[in-house]
Amino acid sequence: MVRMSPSNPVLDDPATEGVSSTRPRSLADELRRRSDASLALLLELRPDLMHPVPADLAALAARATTTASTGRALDALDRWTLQVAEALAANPDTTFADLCTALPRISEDTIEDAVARLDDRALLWRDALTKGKERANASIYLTRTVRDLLGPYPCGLAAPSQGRLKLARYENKPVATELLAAAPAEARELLDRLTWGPPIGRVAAADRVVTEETARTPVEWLLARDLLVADDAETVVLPRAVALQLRDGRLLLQPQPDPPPIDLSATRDVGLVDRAAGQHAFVFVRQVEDLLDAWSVDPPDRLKAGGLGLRATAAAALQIDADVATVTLIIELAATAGLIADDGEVWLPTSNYDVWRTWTTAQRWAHLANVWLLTTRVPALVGTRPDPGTNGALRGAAAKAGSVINCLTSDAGRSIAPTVRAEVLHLLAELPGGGVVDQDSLLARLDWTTPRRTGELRSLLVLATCSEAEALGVTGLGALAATGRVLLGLSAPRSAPRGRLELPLPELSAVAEPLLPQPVTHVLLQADLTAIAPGPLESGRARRLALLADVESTGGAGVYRFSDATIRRGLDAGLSQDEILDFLRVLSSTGVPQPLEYLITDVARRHGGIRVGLATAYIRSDDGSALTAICADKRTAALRPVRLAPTVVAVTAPIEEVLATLRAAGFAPAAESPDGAVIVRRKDSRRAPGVGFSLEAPHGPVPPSGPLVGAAVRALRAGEKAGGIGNGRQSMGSELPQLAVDDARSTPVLKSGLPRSTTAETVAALRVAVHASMAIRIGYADTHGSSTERIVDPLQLVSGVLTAYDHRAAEVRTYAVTRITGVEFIEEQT
Amino acid sequence: MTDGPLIVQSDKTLLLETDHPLADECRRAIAPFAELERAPEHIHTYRLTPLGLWNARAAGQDAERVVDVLLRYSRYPVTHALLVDVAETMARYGRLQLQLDPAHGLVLKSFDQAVLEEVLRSNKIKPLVGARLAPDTVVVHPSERGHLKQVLLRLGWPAEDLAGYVDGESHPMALLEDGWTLRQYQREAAEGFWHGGSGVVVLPCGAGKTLVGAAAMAMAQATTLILVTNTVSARQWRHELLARTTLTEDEIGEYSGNKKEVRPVTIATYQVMTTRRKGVYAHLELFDARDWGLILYDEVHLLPAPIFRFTADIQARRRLGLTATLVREDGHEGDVFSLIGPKRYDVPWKDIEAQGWIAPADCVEVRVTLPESQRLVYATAEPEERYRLAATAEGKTQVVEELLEHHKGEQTLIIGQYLDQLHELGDRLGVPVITGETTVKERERLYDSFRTGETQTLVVSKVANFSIDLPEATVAIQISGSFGSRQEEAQRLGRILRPKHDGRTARFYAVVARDTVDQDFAAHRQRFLAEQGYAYRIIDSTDLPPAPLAR
Repeated sequence: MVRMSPSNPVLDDPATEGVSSTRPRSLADELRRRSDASLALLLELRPDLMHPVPADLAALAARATTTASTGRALDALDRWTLQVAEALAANPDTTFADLCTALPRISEDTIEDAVARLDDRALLWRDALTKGKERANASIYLTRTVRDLLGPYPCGLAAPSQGRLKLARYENKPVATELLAAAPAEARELLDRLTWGPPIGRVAAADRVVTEETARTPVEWLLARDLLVADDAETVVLPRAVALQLRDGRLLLQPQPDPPPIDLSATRDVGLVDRAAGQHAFVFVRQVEDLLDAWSVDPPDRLKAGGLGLRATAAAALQIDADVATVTLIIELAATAGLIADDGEVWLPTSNYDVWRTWTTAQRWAHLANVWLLTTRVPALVGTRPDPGTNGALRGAAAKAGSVINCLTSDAGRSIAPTVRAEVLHLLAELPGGGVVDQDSLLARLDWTTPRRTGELRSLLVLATCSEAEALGVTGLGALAATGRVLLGLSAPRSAPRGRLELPLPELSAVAEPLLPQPVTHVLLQADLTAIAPGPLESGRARRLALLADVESTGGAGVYRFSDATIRRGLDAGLSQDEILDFLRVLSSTGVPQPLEYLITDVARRHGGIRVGLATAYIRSDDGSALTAICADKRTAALRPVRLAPTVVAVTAPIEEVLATLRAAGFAPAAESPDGAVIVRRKDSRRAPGVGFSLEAPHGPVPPSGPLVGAAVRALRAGEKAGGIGNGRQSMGSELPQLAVDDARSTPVLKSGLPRSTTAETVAALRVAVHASMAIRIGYADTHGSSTERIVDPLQLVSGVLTAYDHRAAEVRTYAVTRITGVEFIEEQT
Repeated sequence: MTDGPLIVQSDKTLLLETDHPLADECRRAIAPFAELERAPEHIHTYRLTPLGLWNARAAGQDAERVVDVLLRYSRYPVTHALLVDVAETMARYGRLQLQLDPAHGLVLKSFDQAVLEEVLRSNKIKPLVGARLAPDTVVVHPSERGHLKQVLLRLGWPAEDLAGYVDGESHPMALLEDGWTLRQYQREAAEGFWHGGSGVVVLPCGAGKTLVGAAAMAMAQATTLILVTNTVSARQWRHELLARTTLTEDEIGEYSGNKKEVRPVTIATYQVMTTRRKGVYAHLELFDARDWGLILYDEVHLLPAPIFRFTADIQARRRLGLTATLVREDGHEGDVFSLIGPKRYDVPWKDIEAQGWIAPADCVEVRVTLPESQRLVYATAEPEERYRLAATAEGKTQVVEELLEHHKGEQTLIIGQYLDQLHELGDRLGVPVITGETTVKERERLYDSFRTGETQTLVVSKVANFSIDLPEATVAIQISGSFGSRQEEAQRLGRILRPKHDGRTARFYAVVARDTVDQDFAAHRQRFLAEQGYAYRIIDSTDLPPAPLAR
């Protein structure tokens, strides 16, 4: 969508072309005057302008003035800059000096800063080549789109035109103060209500004719004196001049050039903060492992509609002794980090999980923390009902069904989340070390920093960020920890690679490493049959101990309790009595108490009184000597025969193999009904075939890197050269997705890269291809504007839609001709 | 800081490493607000409970101090959430106060109107309160003072009782410290109680709770009603008071099945207080018989329900509960808190043992293997019969004989649950048996003879559980118990914990039948002992140490 208006023509008037004027006539014109650095800054500040890179500066200007892009740019502005923008919108085509007059008691520098911010973002342009004093008299033009987005009553003022004619009776002199003073109290009250906007009120028969004599009501009193004028039959409006008079000429009721301070609710010792964060980080990673290990064996079901049910989430919380909020965060992060995926039926750890497990705790944590910073997932939404008004919430299943949002569904994602998260962390980073933020003042500050994003979702995201940061160990005791500062400082957080995990962020894991609590290797065994690890127990030992004893409480230490059931569990897992005792003797720094030792021997004594064995086949014969022969025969040793009874031998080999081996050894066995075979199934670790969630793109495009911006600027300059300045030939909406656009338009078909052709050429080529049934290569743009190459056999071309067999997808698909960027014939290879 | 002795767990338990140099200091700091849950050899477990935190508030501690202590001694950072939770829980105590209004008598006053609104909306509160005097004040029926506190506690808004106590009828008395002095912890316990006004003192058996009671009486200087579990215990209280205080025979009355004396100091049994005639508790009026200045509850963990009910009605009198354990098998710890009062003093058994006030004990579980025939009977028995079968297994008799032989010459108690078994054992060993059927006179005669060493072995039923004062029993053999009762185990152990004149270690044997419910129950009881710091050993009956050669 491109809005064009006479006052802001995107295309230049050719007549003025080439004339060096001090006045840029349009935004495009102004952009052309910008230096490369300034253009690069614009692209950095508004990265959406680069997706894809516009053909030339005119196209850039056009894109910059679309409602969507301008809205995005405004959303990122602070309150003061927006206030200045409103002031400019209220006084179109004003000069800087006038602006300063309209904003009294505020330093020019402060105003200039705001104007410069708007300028940098190409939300306004000003007369060029003005310096020093002249600069104050240069006009400033806000783009029409900005004005539209700021609404009809910027600064709560009516448009200058409204009621201007009527006010002519005051001969453009200020309305007499006496007249206003003489207003009856009710009329005065009405005026007060409209003074700071919105300056309109609804009244029946607003356009009635009243004179000072016939006026009865306060509204009529005002209408009669033209202090209110009718806008239409139902609306009265407070004329701008009157409003300004009532405001003593001020544009803004409360100019807020300075951000409100962020209050601290407490200050903690920095060392303590870091240690607390380290502790949380350690626990968090341990919990992820605990949960995923549990899921390896016993995976939770995937809901039919996708995601994970609330009951399964609650069960997971119980499993790892965490609250539901934490476990939701763990599950969402694990999915985003590529550690779990669903195989269509259940959620399982991926093979990436095994890679992740090989890293150090600090590295594991760094991966999760990085993913957390970037993810669009909002675990805090899980369990809530989608707000039907929320933009974007309508896409998910939960919104359609009106039910609660489930874990791992699209309902629990918000594209704005990473932006808010980064914003919150940056504010926390501004606080003095160890400072715990007061959340109300944090919200107040964010209302100033990005007022256009205020709302319930934002509050939720801010609070969720605070609690998630704590759980993850980015903050400790409520204050940003060293780990958090490094995480924030990462210049360009890497997005998670698809498919394969890479060792992440050495600087992040390096700072986390010393903060993590050092695992202990010994426990204290006590006569009340408990074992206490006075710290996080080293992982391998923790796992074995958890097999032999129940975890009774977690936290700084681990408390385990032995009982006959847990010892039996250990014996069942294949440990012998001696192995258990040896393990405990090594593990314990206090020896094994006699009651525990007795318990183990006692359970071991009873264990196995009834035996269950694993056999895949049996050999049965009434002839005992034949069985003795089989057991003694070397050739059957591979079957590992076990004589269970005089007439039965069990073997651990498949029945076919047993038959074959026996026959080879000269016996004449006959197979019995296969039902007789015992099959023991054992639950085993499983892995999902997929690679997990890929990291979704954060809100808007990822901030581009320097080289990319540089390339884009060069491309724009090249586009300018190729297109010729002011040459109206190029199409406005032509989107050239590739950076290498130099000759794109002159060559209809490129051998390398995607085919390009005009629409007319495309249609003609397609007709030929359909007619001749020839395979063609086409470039096809997706809804995001990026193009891919397809090789297709065209079948038919009807009303702008091509139906063709896609070789790569191996199926028949339809393609909108408008989105086919070009066609190229392929040589038949026969 | 990083090496504190305390580890705070996410389930609000506190682990205290006892070998740590700061352990003792830390224990003192956390004892006021955390309940000691287990005290085995290396790591003691305390728990932060709402009751414990409110106890601390009642004792004048604030959340800030609690948080400070946790942060100061904790080895690892304490989670923010836990600190917030502590502060919030503690803030709930005292939002509501019971006060005496000069004009309207007893009133419930609130510093937080929302809280008052919330509790007044409860149907359970409505009948207990009267007119609303002001937005923050409501009249309380004086008779409902106790009930109201009980209900408010259940609603999670415990009221602070500032309505004070009546002084009661004055009656001077003093401790008679001739040749003995009050031990330090006894003094601290009595003072702790006196400053708090009402409450419970927790001391192990054998630690001299009677003297804490006497000290409290000397502070009150008023008429006192003492409630004890049974007649024997009543006689011992009387004996002790005569010996240790200025009280004379005429000043102490006994109110029991036989005698109905009401004197300035009256000792009554729970049993007589809860005796019903035609559905009415005939003797509860004893509470009103005099203007008592102090009411003492011995063994408060056994306080029967009717007495609870009546205690609710006498909230204006000072109340002191004495017990070895706050564990109530019926789980009514909350009622003890709201009706008798918060815990005022608590000290682990092991600490008193270390000070030499109670004897060290060696606990041994002896496992008897049932013969094949009995195992078969056991396996096929009805579930409700199983315990009896296992507990009275024949093999136990032989073990008892062996143990007696081994401890020849030592004062030995044999304790059991089943009378048949006890009588059979008594007959076989030629030892007197004391059961509930034995007359008080006969009982006292036997105890005396046991005291003098004339009788060296006694077989006793569960009457021995409570308040019998057996000096110098150095060996106790438990052959059957009432299922898994933990407090019974504590009481029985207490029988042998009085310090021995020769510093000898006491022995506590539990004889159990292997692979039966008896063993399971024993495990349950022993867990309690182990948690009190009494490590025990398990041996097989076949591994019993051989009897001394001189036989």
